[in-house]
Amino acid sequence: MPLTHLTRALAVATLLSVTGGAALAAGTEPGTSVSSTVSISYSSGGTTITQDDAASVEFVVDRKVDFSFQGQDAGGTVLADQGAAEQVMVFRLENEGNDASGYDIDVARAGDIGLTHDPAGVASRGPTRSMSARNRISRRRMRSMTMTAPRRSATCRPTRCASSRS
Amino acid sequence: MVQFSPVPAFLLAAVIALPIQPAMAETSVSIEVVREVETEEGERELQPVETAVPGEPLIYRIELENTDPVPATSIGLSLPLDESLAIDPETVSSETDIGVVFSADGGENFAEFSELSVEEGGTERQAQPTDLTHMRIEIEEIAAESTIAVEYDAVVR
Repeated sequence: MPLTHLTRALAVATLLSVTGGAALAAGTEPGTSVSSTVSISYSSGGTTITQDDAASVEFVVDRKVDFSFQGQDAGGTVLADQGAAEQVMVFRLENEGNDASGYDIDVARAGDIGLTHDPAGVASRGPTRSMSARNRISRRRMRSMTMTAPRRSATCRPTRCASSRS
Repeated sequence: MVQFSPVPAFLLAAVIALPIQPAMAETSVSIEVVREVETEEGERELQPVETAVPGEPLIYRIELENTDPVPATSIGLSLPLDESLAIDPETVSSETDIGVVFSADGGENFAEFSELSVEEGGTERQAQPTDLTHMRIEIEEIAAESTIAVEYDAVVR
């Protein structure tokens, strides 16, 4: 059976809206105070003068909201046999912020193709023609998502992923 | 013949009683953390930092001011480095010659960054910026009535 190269484009417009949460693994937690203190010693007139903690400065770590959302299929494209069902697209959502954050991903598709979202990363069939995924993701965590196109052969390419800061 | 009028005894006693003190420099130090922003006119501007997010580039600026008419010498600055901060050791700079050494063991031992090593898993490796715990800056002299600034880059971990 010949492979059909994306006869139908699945325009995946992904909107990632963020609400609430705590942060990214690689980052200092929000609310942390970062201080720097300097002590000085010097000589003058034959005398050594020392001032411990002579000056200091401090700031507070703010919340960083940052996600990456990537298709895990090579080239962001799934090649499917004509008429094949259960074509699976796998995406990886990673929280790169310093706090847990909520997310809201809306996926729109073009063409006669259905979508199923499986937040556990295990494919399952569903009748939906659009997909919405809402949840929270902890800092330093990533989550695998699977979308299944149950009926038509298609090549699916996530085209855009935008994140918004809260 | 020249005649001197006698110095009043009380005045003479007061002068003798004055302690003889060498001139001394008074050096003050301040530290600030700023971020570089570009104004609408495209000019570089430094803004004080009150909050920052991980990975954001920051600039620390230490200013030393000698307000007296004699130089201050053998100036040493000592800074413990916050564990939430990673400084770039290669960026520590000043308009005058300075010496900079670091510690990666809580201030026990100091060395130049390129010569600093840490022990990990029974083996020694070259220290990384995130290993640094303390920094010392040495300046030979601050001239009378002058100011010296030291700057370095850092990011929140």
